[in-house]
Amino acid sequence: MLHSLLSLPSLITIAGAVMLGYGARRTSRRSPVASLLGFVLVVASLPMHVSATHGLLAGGSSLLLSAAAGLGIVALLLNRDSGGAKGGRQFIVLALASLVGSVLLFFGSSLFGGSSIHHGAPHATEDAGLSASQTQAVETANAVETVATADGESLLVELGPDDNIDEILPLIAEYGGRAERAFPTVSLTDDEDLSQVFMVSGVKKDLLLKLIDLLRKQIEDVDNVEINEPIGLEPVDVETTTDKFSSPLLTNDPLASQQWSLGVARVDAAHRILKDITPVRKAVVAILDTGVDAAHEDIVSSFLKESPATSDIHGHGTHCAGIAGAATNNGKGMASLNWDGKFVEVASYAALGDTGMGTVETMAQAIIDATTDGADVISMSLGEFSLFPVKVVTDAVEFAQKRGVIVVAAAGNSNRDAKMHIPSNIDGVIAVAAVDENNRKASFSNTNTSLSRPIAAPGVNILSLEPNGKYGKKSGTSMATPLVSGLIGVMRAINPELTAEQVYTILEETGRSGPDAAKVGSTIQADAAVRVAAGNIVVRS
Amino acid sequence: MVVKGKVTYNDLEGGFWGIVTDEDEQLRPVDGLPTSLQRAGCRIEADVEPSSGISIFMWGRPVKVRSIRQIESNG
Repeated sequence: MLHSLLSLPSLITIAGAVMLGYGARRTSRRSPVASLLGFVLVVASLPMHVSATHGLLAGGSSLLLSAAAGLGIVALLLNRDSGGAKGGRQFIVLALASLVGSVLLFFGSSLFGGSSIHHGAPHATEDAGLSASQTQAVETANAVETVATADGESLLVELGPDDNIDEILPLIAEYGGRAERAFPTVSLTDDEDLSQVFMVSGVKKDLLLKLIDLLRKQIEDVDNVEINEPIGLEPVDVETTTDKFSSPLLTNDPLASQQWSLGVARVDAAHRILKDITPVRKAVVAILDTGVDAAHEDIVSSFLKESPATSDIHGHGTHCAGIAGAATNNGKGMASLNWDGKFVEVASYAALGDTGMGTVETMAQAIIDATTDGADVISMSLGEFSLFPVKVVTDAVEFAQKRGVIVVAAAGNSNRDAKMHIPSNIDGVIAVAAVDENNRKASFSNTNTSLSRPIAAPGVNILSLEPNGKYGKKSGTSMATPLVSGLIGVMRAINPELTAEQVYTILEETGRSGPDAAKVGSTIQADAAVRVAAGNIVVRS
Repeated sequence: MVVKGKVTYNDLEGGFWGIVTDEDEQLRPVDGLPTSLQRAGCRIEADVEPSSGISIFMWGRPVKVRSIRQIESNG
C-alpha cells in the first residue's frame, strides 16, 4: 500500500494536499489561491487513483492515504515555522482522519472485490434478463478477470436461446471455473446466438478437456463449446520476428528454406494443419497475367489442363502461378500452400502480352473467361494508375463477383496511395500490398488502407518458378498477390461456401498487424486463416 | 510534353527503367529507354506523350517517348 505513495496520482495528491493545507493555515500569510489550486489538484487526482487501482473504493483509499501524507507534511512545516507541535496540530488530526479513512476504504475494496470496476456487466445482465444468481456469478467473474485469464485457458460456451447459465454453473464451479457473458453488448434481440455465448475461465488446463466433454453432453442447455484460442497474437509470433520460420519446415521441397515468406505468413505452420485435411474439392485459382509455363516441373501436376494460356515468354505469370499453387511436399523446387497438390488447381489466362503489358479490354476479357470457366479466385498481379474509374473493368469485376468469384489484385508499386490504381481500387476487390521480412511495408508498395479490402503479404525477394524449369526471385506487389490468392483457394477448397466478404473478414481478423498496418493492413497468417475456414475456431471480435 | 528528370532502375517485377521528373512524377516509358541512357541517376530531357494500358509494373504513368537526350547534371 505504501509503495503507491510514489506513483504519479499520489504525488499529485500529496502536492495538492500540501498546497491546500499550507494555503489555508491560520496565519497572516494565508493564500486562498494556493488552497484553491491544491483543492483542484486533489480532486483531479481522484480519477487517476481510480484508474490506477481499478476501483472506486481502492482509488479513494489511495487518495486518502496520499492526502494524509500531504497533510502530515504541512503539519511538519507548520511545526517547524512555529517552533513547536502546536502550529500543525489541526493538520495532524486531519492526516490521521485521512489515514483511518484510507484503511477503511482499503478493507472495503477488498471485501467488495472491486465491484465498481465493471459497470457494463450488471447493465448487460439486466438487459439479458439474467437471474440474481447469474448476475452475481457474472459480476464475480468480471471482478477477477485478470486472475481468471492468467491461470488457465478459457472456453466459449453457447447456450440455447431459452437456456439459462444457472443450469450449468454448478458444473463449471465444480471445475474451478467462472462464467461471464462473452459479448455483453449484444442482447438477445440483437443476436440470439452471440448473446448466449459465455466465456468460462479459471479452469486448470488439465481439467479443460474433461469439462468440454461434460459440457457437450449437456445437450438440453449447451449448443456449442469451443476453446477460446487466441488468433493472430499467439506467443509463437514473437519468435517469428527473429526466426525465419515460425516452425520447423515440414515440406520436403528443397528450395523452401530460401522462402522467408513461409515464416512471415505462417505458411509453414499451415502445412502442419493442411497435411491432415481432406478438402471438399480442389479450388481453381485463375492467374490473369502473361501466361504460365504449364510444363514446369513444380506446377505441371497442379495446372488446370484446359487453361487457355499454357506458355509464358515473359515469366511473370509463371512466377505468380508458383506462389499461388506450386505442388508442395513433392520433393521438387519450392513450396506454396498447395500441400500434396490436393487443394488448388492453377488456371492461366493471358490478360497481358509477352512484354508484360495489355489493355483494359484484354484484362476484362480474361476476367470474364476465368469467371465463365468456373474460377474460385481471380488473381491479378497487374494494374495501372487511372484518374477515373474504368467502367469496363469495373463491370467485368462485378460480373465475376456476382457469380461468387473472389477477386484479388495487387495494390501497385509506386509507394503511393492505391486509391487511383485499377483494378485494386474497385469496390470489393481484395487489394494486396507488400511487406518485407520484418513485416514492414515494402519501400515500393502502394498503401491500400484507403480501399475497401486491404491486406498485406510478403513481396520482397520472393522465390518462385521461372519458365523452362528454372527458379528465381522477384519483388513487387505482384508477388504478394498470388500468396493471398493461393490462401483463399485453399480456404475455398476446405469450405466452398465461403463468400468473398467472409473470406476477407477471416484474412483480416486472423492477420497480424505489423508496424505499418495502418498503411497496408494486416499481414495474412495462413495457419489461423485455414483453421477458421475449417470451422475449428471462433474469431472473437 | 517536355520533361526533365533522372533515370531510375526499378528492381521490381523483373526490373524496368523509369524516369522521375524534377516535379517528382514517375513516368514509365512503355518502350523502354535507349541502352545508352540506361544508367540510374542519368539526367535527361525527354519529349513524352501519355500512353495507356495495363501492366505488371504498376509503377508510374505509362508514356511513349518521342525524343530523349542526356543533359548536364545542372541542366
